[in-house]
Amino acid sequence: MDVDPDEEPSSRTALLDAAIRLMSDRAPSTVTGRELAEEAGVNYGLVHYYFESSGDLLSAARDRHGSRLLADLMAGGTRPIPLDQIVSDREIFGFAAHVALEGGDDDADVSRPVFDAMLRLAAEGDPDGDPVHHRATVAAIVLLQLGWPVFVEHNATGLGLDLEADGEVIRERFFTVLESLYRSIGVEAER
Amino acid sequence: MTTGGSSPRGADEVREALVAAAARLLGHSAPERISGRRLAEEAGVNYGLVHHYFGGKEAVLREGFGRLTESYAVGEDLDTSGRVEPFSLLRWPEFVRAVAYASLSGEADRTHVTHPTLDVAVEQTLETRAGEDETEIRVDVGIATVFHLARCLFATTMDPWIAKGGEALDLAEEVEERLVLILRSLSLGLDPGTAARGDREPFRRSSVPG
Repeated sequence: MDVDPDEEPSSRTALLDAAIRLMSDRAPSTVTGRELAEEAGVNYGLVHYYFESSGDLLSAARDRHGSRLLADLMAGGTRPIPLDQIVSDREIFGFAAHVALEGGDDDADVSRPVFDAMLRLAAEGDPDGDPVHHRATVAAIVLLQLGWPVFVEHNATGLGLDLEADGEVIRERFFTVLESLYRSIGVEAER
Repeated sequence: MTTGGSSPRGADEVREALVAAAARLLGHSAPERISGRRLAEEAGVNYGLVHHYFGGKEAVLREGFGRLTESYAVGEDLDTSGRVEPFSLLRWPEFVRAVAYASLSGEADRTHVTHPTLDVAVEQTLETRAGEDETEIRVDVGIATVFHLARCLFATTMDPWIAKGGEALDLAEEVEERLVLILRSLSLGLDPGTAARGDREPFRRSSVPG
C-alpha cells in the first residue's frame, strides 16, 4: 500500500501513526482496536473500516513506518540516518523490533525500501565497488541500528558497564564503528 | 502444556513444570505481561502453587530465564572448547527473543537476565588485547554482541533481502562471510569498514584517518 507522507493527515494515517507509537512500546498483539482508536483520536468503527484484520493493520503500519523513516530521517533517501537519532529515538526502532518479534517480517516478498535506499547511497558513494561489500555493509549498519536500542542496556549490564558513567565511551565507540562502515562505502554520516 | 496426561505432582514436579513453563513463555511475551495464572495454566498446575513454591511469579520468571540461559551456555560447550561459533545465537532463538522482550519492556534488570557468554567473550578478548584499556574492550565486546543479537533477532527481516541481491547464487553466502569478519573486527576493536571490504587483517580503528 502506498502512503504519501506529504498527503493530508487522514484518519487512516492517524491510525497507522498511533499503531507505530503504541507498538514501539508493546508487542503488536497486545494493542487493541479501542486503544488504537483512542490514541489516534478517531472513531472506533474506522479501525475495522480501514483494516480487515490485525495482519492488514500491521503490514500497513510497517509500510508507513518505512516511508516515514525514509522521508523524515533519510531526507527522502539522500542521506543516512543521523547517528544521534539511532541512540535517541526509541520509537523508530522499538516498532521494528516488536514487528520482528511477532513474525511480522516473515513474508519474504516484503520490500525493504530503507535498505534499498542505503544500497543506492553506496552505489553513488563507491561507484565501482564490490556488490558483496556494499550489501554486507548495509546489512551490518542496519543490524547495528536496529539492535542498538533493543540490546544496549542488556549488554551494558551484563558487561559491568554503567550506561551513565561509561555513556560517552560507549557512544563514541559505537559512532566510530558506524562511521567506519559508512566511510567504506563512500558515505559520510552526520552525527 | 502438560506432558503426558496427568498434572505434575509433588514439589519437584510442580517446581520443574513452572520453571519450564516460564522458559517457554518468556520467548513469546514481555515478562510483565506473564501473569501467575498464565504460568500456572501453561504448567498445568494449580494457581496457588505459584505462591506456595516460589512466593510469586517474579521468582518463577527469574528461574525461567536461568533455564534459558543455561541451555544456551551448555549448548555452547563453553567449558570444554572455550570457543564460540560466530552468530551461534541463531541456534537459540528463544533466548534471543527472551532477552529482547525483557530489554524492550525495561525489565532486563529486574528479571536478572544473564548472558554467560558475555563473560567468556570478555575474558578471551582481554587476553587477546592485553595492555589495552579495559573499559574500551568491554564496550567493544558489547557492540559486537549487539550486532550478534541483532543478526539473530532480525534474521527474518534481513535474510530475504540479502538473498535478493542475487545475480550471483553465492552472494548470500559471501555476504554472510563478510558479516562474520565484521563481527570479529568489532570485538577486536579493529576497523569494521576494512573488514567489510573482505580484508582479513583490518587495521586498528585508531589508525583510520578522519
